Amino acid sequence: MRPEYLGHFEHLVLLALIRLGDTAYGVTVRREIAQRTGRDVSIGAIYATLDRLETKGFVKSRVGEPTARRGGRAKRHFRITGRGVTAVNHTRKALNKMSDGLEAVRSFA
Amino acid sequence: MTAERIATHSPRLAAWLVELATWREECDAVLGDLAEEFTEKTERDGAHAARRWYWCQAGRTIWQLAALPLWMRPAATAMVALVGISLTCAFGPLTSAVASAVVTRYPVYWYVPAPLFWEFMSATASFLAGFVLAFLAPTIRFRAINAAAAVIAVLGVWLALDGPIVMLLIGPPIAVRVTLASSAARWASGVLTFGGATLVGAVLARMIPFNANPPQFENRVDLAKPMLWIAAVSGALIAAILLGRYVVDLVAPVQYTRGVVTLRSQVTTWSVIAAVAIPAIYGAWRYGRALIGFVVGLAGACIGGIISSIGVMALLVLSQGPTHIRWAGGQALGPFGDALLAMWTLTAITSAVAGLCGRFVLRPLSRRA
Repeated sequence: MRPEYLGHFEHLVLLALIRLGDTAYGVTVRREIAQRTGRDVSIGAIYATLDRLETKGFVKSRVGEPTARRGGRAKRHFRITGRGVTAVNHTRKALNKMSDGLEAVRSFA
Repeated sequence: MTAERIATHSPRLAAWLVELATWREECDAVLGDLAEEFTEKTERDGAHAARRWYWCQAGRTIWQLAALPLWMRPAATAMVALVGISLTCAFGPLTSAVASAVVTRYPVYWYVPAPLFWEFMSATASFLAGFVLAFLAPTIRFRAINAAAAVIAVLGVWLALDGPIVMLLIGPPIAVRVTLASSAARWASGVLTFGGATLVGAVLARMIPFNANPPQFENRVDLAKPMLWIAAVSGALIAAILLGRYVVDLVAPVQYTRGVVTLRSQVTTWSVIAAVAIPAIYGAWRYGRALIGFVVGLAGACIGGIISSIGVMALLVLSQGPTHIRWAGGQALGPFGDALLAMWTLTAITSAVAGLCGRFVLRPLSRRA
């Protein structure tokens, strides 16, 4: 089977899901990416990407309980699948191989 | 102020616009996330800053939900745009025929300037295409707004390129001087009119309140009540159309010629068919069975026939006196007159087709949406 690679933002979102574990939903994923990368992404970008990742089979979602703080609306929790983890690893390996031996890249790391 | 109270103060218009840009299944999650952060922002920075943040996030969210899937799936985008433009081309002759029929029969230009009328009728084709496209797009996992955005994007590129290509192949037009400003105005007008109409059609289709999960009923009596309501709405619509036609004929009589179907007869016929078909489609879709659509269509026609017959008799008595009541002829007396067989055959076919469409076309589509 051909290895599946991720786009830059897809990669960030999946890494955020791995970090957050069971507490991953739109708000926490957005905050995790903002805190770690400094990128202020919109909820729309997160959901458009998660929708795409779910279609590819890298992510699974389940609907949580509605809360008053959310105006009575339910959360949608996301969880990375085994295929998603494999895709993250493939992408990471490819990035490492490409940057291997490049001093200019290492100096920024 | 409780958290619940703060959450309800998030800008409703912005929330509604976001809702139109989402899938039904993701709508609650997206709006809930926005509401949660809005509540925190209100507590931390005050209501004014929170509202500004919400509007900004709503705008960015709509843009990202509309545009990102187009970048991620260029082939699907091209396909949706192609289908959208093909649908516009297919609806074009239909809307032109309706417009021609209207302007040849009624003094439309007394009330509406001719260019505005024809521009509006051209945009109607795009509107219908957008409406239909919004139902087809979910089959390839595109939101209604994605489908409209795909058409607008391709239309924008096409309108930017078609002029220069034509000029390159044939040469510049002789009668009109083409400038950069006139080309830009033509581009903006085309994108706004046709793209805007497509977007409005798609958004309108998204606004239809679908519910993919059919309600469960313990016995048939429980099911009969909502079915009767749908049939009653259908019957009321049919009666309103037929009585409206009767009143129009009374107020503005028309000379009927044998073999010629007048515009008002065509409008009446198609309106009655729609009043039978739409509730039948809804019934079959809502309760997940084609038979329910069929029964709702027939029951609606029966109720409509009875109400309109009583109504026409009352109008006859009022307008011409009780001696004019006869049981033969007359469109509104159809269920009891000469046209009985033709009318009920047409109603049965319409209800059956509508029931099958609701169950086997609309229902699978709305489940994917």
